[in-house]
Amino acid sequence: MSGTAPLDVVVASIVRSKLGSIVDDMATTLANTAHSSRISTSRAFASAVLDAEGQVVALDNPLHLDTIAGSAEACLEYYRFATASDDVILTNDPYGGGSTVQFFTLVAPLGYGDEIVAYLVVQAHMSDIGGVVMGNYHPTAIELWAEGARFTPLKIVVDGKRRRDAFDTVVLNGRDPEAFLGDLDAMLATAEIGRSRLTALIDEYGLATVEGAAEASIAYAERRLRAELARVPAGTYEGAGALDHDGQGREDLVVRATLERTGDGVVIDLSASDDQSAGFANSPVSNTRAYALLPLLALLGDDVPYNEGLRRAVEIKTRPGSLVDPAFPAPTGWCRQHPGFEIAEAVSHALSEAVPELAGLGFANQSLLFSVRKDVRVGGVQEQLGVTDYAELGPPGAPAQSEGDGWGKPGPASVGLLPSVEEFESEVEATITRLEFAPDTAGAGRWRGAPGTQTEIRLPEGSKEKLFACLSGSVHGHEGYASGGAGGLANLELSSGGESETVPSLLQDRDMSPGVELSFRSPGGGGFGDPLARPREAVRDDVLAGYVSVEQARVVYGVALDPETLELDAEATATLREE
Amino acid sequence: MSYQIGIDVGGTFTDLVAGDAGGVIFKTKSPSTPGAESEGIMASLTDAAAHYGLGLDELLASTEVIVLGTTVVTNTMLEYSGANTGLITTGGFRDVIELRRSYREHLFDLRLPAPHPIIPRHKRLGVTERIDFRGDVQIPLNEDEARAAVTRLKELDVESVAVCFLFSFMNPAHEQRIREIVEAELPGVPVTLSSEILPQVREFERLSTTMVNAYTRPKVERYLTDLDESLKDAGFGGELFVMHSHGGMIHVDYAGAHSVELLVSGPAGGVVAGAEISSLSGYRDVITVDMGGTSYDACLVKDSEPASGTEAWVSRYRVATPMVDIHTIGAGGGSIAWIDDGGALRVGPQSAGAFPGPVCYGRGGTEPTVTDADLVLGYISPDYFLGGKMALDADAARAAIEEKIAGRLGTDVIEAASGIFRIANNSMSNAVRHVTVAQGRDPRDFAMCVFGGAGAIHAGAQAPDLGIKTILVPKAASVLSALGNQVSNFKITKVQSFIRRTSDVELDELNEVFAEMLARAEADLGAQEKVRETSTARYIDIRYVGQTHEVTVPIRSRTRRVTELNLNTAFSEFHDLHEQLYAFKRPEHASEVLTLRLDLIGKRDTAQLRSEPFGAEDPAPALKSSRDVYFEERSEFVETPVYDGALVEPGQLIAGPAIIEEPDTTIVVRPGQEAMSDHYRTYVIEVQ
Repeated sequence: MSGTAPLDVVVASIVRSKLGSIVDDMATTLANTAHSSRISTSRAFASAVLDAEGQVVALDNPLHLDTIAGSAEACLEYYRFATASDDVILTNDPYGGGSTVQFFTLVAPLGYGDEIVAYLVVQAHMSDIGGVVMGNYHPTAIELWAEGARFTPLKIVVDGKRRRDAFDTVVLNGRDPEAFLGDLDAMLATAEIGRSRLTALIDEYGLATVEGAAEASIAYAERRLRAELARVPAGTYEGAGALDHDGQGREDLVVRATLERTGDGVVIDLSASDDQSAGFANSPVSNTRAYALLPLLALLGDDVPYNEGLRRAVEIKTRPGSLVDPAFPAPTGWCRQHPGFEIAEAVSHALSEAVPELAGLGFANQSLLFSVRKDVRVGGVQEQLGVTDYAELGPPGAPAQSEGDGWGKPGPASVGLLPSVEEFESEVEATITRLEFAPDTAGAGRWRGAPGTQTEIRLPEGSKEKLFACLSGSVHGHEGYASGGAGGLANLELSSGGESETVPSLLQDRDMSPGVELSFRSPGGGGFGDPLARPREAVRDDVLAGYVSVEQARVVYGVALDPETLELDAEATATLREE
Repeated sequence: MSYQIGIDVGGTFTDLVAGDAGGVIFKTKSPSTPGAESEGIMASLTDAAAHYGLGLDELLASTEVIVLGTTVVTNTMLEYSGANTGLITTGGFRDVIELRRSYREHLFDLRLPAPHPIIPRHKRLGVTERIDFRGDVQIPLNEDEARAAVTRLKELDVESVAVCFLFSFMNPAHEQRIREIVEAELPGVPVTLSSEILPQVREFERLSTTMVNAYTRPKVERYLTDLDESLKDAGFGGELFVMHSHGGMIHVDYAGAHSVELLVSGPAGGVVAGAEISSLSGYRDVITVDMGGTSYDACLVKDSEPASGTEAWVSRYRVATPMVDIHTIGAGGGSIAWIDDGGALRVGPQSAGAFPGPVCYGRGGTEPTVTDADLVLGYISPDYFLGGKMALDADAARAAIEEKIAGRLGTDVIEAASGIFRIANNSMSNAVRHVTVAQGRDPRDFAMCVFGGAGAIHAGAQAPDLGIKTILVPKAASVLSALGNQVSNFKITKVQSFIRRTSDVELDELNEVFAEMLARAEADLGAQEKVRETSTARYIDIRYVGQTHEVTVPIRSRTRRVTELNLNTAFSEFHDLHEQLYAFKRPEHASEVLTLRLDLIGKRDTAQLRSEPFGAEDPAPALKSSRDVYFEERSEFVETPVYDGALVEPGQLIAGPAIIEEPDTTIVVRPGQEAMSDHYRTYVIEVQ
């Protein structure tokens, strides 16, 4: 750092924090004003400031780092030399830097003086954009068009004025134009907030200083990540993540990662991953890069700017035609859960092989479980009127950490809030009759994972809901680390009129009109280390709390307890643990 | 003669402010006695008695009102030293608190442990019952299970019980029945019902608030009862009140049972006093900032009313009761400066605290802090810290900054100290922006009222950055919370869930609910004889259908009921407020009501701060010395006059650069700025 004038260091640091505040203010605005709960509660969105070259300078949510960069790049390339400062460009193209058709990206240039000096970008999960299934999760889609309408970059605002033609063609391509427009209004307001904050910042510090600070912030993030990557011993490490199925009957789809330390950076090679899916479990390359980077962010904690600098420190290789780099026109609708999770899991296992204390930063097995309300209103046409997501009620458990039990949802998956049961019931016709941890679902280990949850939902007789399910984690649970056990598996049961059935992996358009009870168990997090090394008192406390059964305590942890009093049987425990 | 006394018990100091009909204000600062707080309180009362030439019993006998600010709730949560508490909740939902809507404070911190369970899972018991969103009973309360649960809690020796059923805010019958059973089976064990502590939709927020109340309540009740008795034993003939988090005072009996509502009891007093003093100086729109050793608190005051919020957390538990909306960041005099792996100069969040404290304290601190930088730059005097009670080691501070910061940045020690000063200022300015810009307000429309030991060192440099034109530093800056307690009014806040489309709101029904809320508030107000006049403020939380975040809109009603016009005005103001906050509105879109809020304010006769006439403008009589002080706007040390605050008189005008040293606080008047002591001895600093 010698040779850098102190003024620069201090001002750069101040401006960097102010750029961070801008994207945080944008995020707050979007969450507080969006129409749909996917944005406001689940917080499936990101907001960013990009520099004049389209490099990400500041971003609130790193799950979107590369899809923001990729989508913005596509928009700027598309309108090269034809973008004015008061325009706004919109796209949702999974093959144009994005992830799925649900995610719309809005790019708003910022003019200052005579030039465009930056871009404000907002990416958010929209309620519906056509396709076969409302909400655009179509588990048996075999081509992109079945998932929803695809918009390559489109100017929806020109010279500060909304283009009615462009607005209508986008908004009316979805089944709930009011919700779509509400969310789009909120995204536009968010970009405007970003524009005014960034203009004020440039007014205050001058353009050259802000541009210099932006570049310095990128260089800073890169230096921070490279400094941390120095902890990875030279060598090559391997990890894998397996997905149960892809909705097309293909099972055990595997993402394989090698992580190689090179100089002061790393190369993550995902080329050995399986071939792409015929179904919707395909991750476009921008999405793949964002998820591959996630486990590395655990090196940094929360106080590093998420920007282009992180991308520079890590090289990510993929093979076209694979699960993690599919060829057009493969559907991609599930990729933000799967194989997004397997990508993060594979890299996480490779990283924890190199640096064991970095275990546990994965993502989450996330099944799809939702219903679409269908009704005939005019002339025999069956219309899809609304979507209710049930899977989000019961979160998957986080894996154990290297020095502590897992708790809550896995870190990066905790961006969004769980719905409130009371708000949920006020809005939909379903009743939630149970939402509690399920015993014996926490992956065993010296440190255990967080348990999965049991959610029971009752739909009344005469319901117009049609149920869709696509399970993940019912075959391949969350693998443990360092000989820790895997987390409990996902499971779905339906019962109606006294009959009960277990749903294997896929369910489509199931009629709920007889009145149905769903019982959904979310998977638990993997454990860390040998379960026999867990202190017996900790095991006893887990039994007392009901996370672990007396049976599992004995069989898995080698701890004997009196089933009545739950007193420790020291002798029997010693014998069990010696065996 | 009758006295009114405000007391603020902090972790380090117990502050006291006394006044009488003549308006004379006496203030004292004495050490707190943690664990035996009433001793420190009695000591400070003895000081006050001596000041008036009275015995302690004589002073207390003629004291009408004592208002206490306390940190006992916060401390109980910080130490997790609350009661052995049990929870009874809807069967099948006993993990709501642990699922915590999947809040995770740091998404990428692998070492972040699970929150400490203030009620472990085996003490959270489910009971079969269900009420639906309309308030109808779907499944009646299973009495056998309820009794079994209470018996189980008895076996577990619980000292406090929390009860939270789904939709109890629509129908509290099942919660009330549990209370009857607990009272019969566990006499003397306090019961906190969620339908009473926060009758509002969203189970996690309501439950967490209820649990924090149940967990802290026995300790707080014991503390307040003991204090009340000690005071009475010592001859106190008046009534004890407690500062509520929302900035009003409440009766001690109410306070104990609603302990969660005392969460920011101490800081709220400071905001109230800041609002009052600023108003006397002619400023009704201010941002109060309090900079201490480890934290920096900012709060917006609009039209002399502190902003209210419901987004608080304490020790990783959510508290959703309305309170003064104080935004706190971990930046204070003790914040440590360091260079990170990316080569950036950082300040905080680690703090050296009071022990070992900054390097210059000479208590073994080795990491340079903001206070060390302030000392090296000449802002504080090595010989006059805490009024000269503590000598500071400037050489050690300088050496630490040299070694840990300047050496690594390749700069000289002054540039490094200046960098620490500026980065700390920026963090604090960001906090001020958070309470203004992020709420749709422009900081340029506000003055800044500064208190806490180090606040007035930094405010002069922050104000220009924020576009703030006026800084106010109250003379009583070091005991401001106690002063706020002394000048506060009664206030009771009620919240009630009221969910429906705005188009479906029936005026009569709305008025009925408000009337019922008012009746409950009046019952809780107590001490009616001290209330000179009451006023009621009503608010309605509205959002656009589909949104999950609501906007609180005032209802401008001047009578005991809301009129058609009042209501329609509120509905239309919702759109404007939404636009102010979020840059757009959708008047054509359906909106819905979520919650009704009501504040009952009881004005009382408080001892007034007394206005004093201006004397001569020349501050020369107060000049005591001069020293070299570094001002980055001049890029050099400037010989700067130092004034003795004890000698500064109303009307004196001090041009910057200058330093004014009060016993507990230092005021830096930067070049181009001008400070004047006004009629209330508040320093009014004009910024270019």
